[in-house]
Amino acid sequence: MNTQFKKGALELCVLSQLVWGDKYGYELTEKISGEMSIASGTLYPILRKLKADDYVTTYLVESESGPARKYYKLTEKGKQYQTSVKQEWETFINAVNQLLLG
Amino acid sequence: MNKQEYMKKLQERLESFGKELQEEIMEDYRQHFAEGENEGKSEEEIIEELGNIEEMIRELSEDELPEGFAQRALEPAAVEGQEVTGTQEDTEKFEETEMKRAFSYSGYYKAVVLEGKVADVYVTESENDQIHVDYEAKGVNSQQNYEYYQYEEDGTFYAGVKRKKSIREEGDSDEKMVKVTLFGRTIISYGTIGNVWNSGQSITLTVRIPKGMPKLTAKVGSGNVSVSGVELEALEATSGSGNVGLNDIVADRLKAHTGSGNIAAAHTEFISGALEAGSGNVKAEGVKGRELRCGTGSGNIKGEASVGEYHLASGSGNIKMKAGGNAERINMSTGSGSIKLELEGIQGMDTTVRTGSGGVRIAWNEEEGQKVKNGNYTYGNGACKIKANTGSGSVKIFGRE
Repeated sequence: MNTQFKKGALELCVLSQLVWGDKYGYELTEKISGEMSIASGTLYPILRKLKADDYVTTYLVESESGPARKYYKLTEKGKQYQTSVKQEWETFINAVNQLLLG
Repeated sequence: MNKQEYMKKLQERLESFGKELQEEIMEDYRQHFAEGENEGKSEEEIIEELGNIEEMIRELSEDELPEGFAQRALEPAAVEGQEVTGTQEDTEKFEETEMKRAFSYSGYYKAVVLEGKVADVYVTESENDQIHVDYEAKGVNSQQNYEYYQYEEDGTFYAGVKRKKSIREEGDSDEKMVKVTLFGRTIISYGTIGNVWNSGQSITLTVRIPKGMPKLTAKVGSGNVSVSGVELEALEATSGSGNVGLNDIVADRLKAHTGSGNIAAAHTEFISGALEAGSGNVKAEGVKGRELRCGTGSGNIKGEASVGEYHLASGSGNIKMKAGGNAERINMSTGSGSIKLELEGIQGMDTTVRTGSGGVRIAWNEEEGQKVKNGNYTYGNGACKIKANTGSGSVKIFGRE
């Protein structure tokens, strides 16, 4: 798959997960790798990038299971971005579906 | 591979990205291991889940390049966004045609800003104190969809190519048109849109600027930029997907960027020069100055220069540099490519080399064939500080006083 395409899709998946509430890294990677076959490790650079672009912020929460968990939270900018990319995505899927029909 | 080995490899591969980033990603992985173990997964299972480190590094390399490469690489070629084109009649009328216009402007300007979009932009020195612009459009699309513009504001001269407002935007609703963009790219376009920008179409903007112009900015989307024979205080040349060529230039500050094209600079002098490509190659030949920065995501860096400081970084390409007399500091890093450095006329070097799996060879004053390991080596008076870092390629350094 085209990497830029894949990356864009993964970004959208991550952001959309966060629309439903803050999540920590492992939780996100589990959720996404549960649906598609990807190397979970590749999500960490994507999360980092989303943070650098101010689409998410992070905060730490102590955990009894080990090191503190880094939670990701969607920013206002991130919400807007997610909405617009999601729209693009839906238009795209609709167009592909139309074309599949001939 | 067990957890310890995996983490060690991760640490090594992250080395070239800087301490802060290295620690951040390592911490993410440590957390991932802790969570997984807590769920009763074995080390092997977690390693498999995290996946190939190289894949993650590739992902990281795309973002961790200077100043938003990924965006530039993503910037759609301007031709992709074409909306409406002419009827068959128009097409015939414009076929094989060529439009040429020439403009001259007098006045004192502190800067020239050129925006070429799909056009190729050439800049050279003017034979008088006027700015001369030659605008040339070949083929139907280029003439129907783009036009030349010029204006000035605040003592700055602006010129370029812009899309014409479509004449047929209304009344076309019965025509079937689909244009879909995703993640900033046009993915699908069919119907009457997206008329082919075929080989017969081209726009060229040739600009001659007066001697002593302080500042020049030239920016294009899918076109190429070429600047030659000028002296400036600041020069910035950017292309989204085309090439950037610089020849015979003197500039205090020089910057060249391209998303997916190549950059070549020749016979150029500057105080600080930055040549940055998203995925293409970077070449610097006969370059002189105080500080040279070359970066590319996946291309190679090649050059022959005489500057004080070298900062050369490639995501996965090779680095080959011939460094002249006054070098003081040379930093070279690549994710997986090999590094070759030749030093001329330097009093000595203080070298730190590191490679994940490639060989290292350092030769000083014809003392050939020293095979060394990762570590620090000093020759002569150690005047030039060198750092060479590669994930898996080999490192070769040759020096002569």
